[in-house]
Formats: sequence, structure tokens, C-alpha cells
Amino acid sequence: MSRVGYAYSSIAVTGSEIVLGVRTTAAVLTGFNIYEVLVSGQAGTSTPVRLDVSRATTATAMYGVVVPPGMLNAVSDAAPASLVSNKAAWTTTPTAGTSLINLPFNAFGGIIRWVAAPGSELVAIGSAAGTTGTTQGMIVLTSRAGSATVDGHLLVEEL
Amino acid sequence: MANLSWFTDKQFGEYITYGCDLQGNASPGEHRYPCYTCGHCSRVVLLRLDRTRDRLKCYTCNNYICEKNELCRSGCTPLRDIARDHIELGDERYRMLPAILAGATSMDEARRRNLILGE
Repeated sequence: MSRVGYAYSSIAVTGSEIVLGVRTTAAVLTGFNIYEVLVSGQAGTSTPVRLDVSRATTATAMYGVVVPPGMLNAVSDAAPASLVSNKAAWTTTPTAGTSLINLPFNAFGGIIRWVAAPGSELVAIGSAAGTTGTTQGMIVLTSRAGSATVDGHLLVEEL
Repeated sequence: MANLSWFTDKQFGEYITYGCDLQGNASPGEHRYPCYTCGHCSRVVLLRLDRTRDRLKCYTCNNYICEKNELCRSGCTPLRDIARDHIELGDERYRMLPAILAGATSMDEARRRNLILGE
């Protein structure tokens, strides 16, 4: 399976807002796994920040500039089926649903990294004919409390 | 002490923090916290070292599952297998898929929102 990384840098997070989203390109029964999430802070003083990774309950119809993927190995797909965008490029803001991972950390030099065990990745899946849901193949990084500038990456395996 | 021997190394994920702990307090060095991912809804569960009760496991898909979501305990919805193996539509394992993806956390809520297939 194709593995790609999406690195983001210097994103300002404030209060409760969605800062980054990964979604499937189509509302079909395809999906991706997220198997690593890393967030690091740039604050100059102690700044507790709480982010989380959630499933979007309403995915965006489309959004603007996508974060280009980095291929993790030679056989990774240079044009993966997942798309990433951040809050600066939303044309429609998605809605965050239930939290899947809480990522509390101190942005004053702090780093938090979540790594899945093999077979225990976060699964995003597009809805399909036969189900009653809408397009749900989207996972978002959401800020819940605190304000800081953060960097990090998501590692994604396409299914 | 919790019986962590239920888990093999391959079932543990990890939170790793540097320069702070999971409460957001500045704390030098590296801190590692074991966790697992619910096999049905993908919620990540931090393992408490002082827990003595058994962890819930789905004996259909052989995955550990979370305790918060009633939908995860009410049937087997192996998200990863559905995404990876494209299980045939109409299979019983799809029954609660829309509800889990839409963030419902109880059977009542799922029924109210008409998110359970075949009902």
C-alpha cells in the first residue's frame, strides 16, 4: 500500500477550530489509515495546548490548496487518493465529530507523537452505496484549547 | 497492577511526548504511554497501568474495543477489514458502519438518526 507523509508548518491554532483535514477523494468505499501523528510547538513560554484528531461528521465539498504529499518510499503513489488541506485553504469548513485521539502537550518546546501499533491505525473510510451515511472519509486535526503555533506531520497509508 | 500480558507488543500503540507530559505540564525528557486503538470505531485508548478490570475484546474480529461507545459493544464493525478487504455490501458487519462514521455513541441515538442499516 502506498504510504505518504503530509508535513505542515507554522499553523496558528486558537481556541476551538479545525486546523487540518485529510479526506478521501471520492464518496466511495475507499479509505486510508493514519498511523502516525506528530505535533510540535513553537511557543516561547509555557503554553498548554490541547489538540485532537477526530472523524469529520460532515466532510467538505471541496477545499482549496492541498498540502503536497511526500512519498515515503519509491513505490509510494505520487498522486495519492487522499487530500490534505489546512484552515487557510478551506472553502467549506468541515465539522469535527467524536475525538479519536487527544493530543495534549505544552507548545513551549514540547512535542507529542502518536504511533499506531501495526493493524491498529486510524481508519477513514468513504461511505458507499448501501450505507445511509454521507461522505465520511475525512479525519481532521482540531484544536480544542490553547493558542500556539505548531508544526508536525501525519503519516498516511492509502488503502 | 494491570495485567498487560493480555496484549502482545504488536497490539500496543504509543503516545510519546518530549518536553512535557500528557497533562501539558513542562517536563524534561521523553515520556512514553502505551495505548491501543478500538477495532471498531478507531478511538485511541490510553492504558492505565493501575487498571485491574479486563479490557473488552471482540471475539468476532479479535480486536480490543473501547468501552465508551455502545455501538462498539453491540456488534462487530471491523472498520479496518471493511476498508482494506472491501467486505461484500450487505454483510452484517456493515450494519452499524454509518452510525460509527457519523459519530453516534449509543443505539438510541443511532436509531433516532436512522443510521443503522436494515432497521
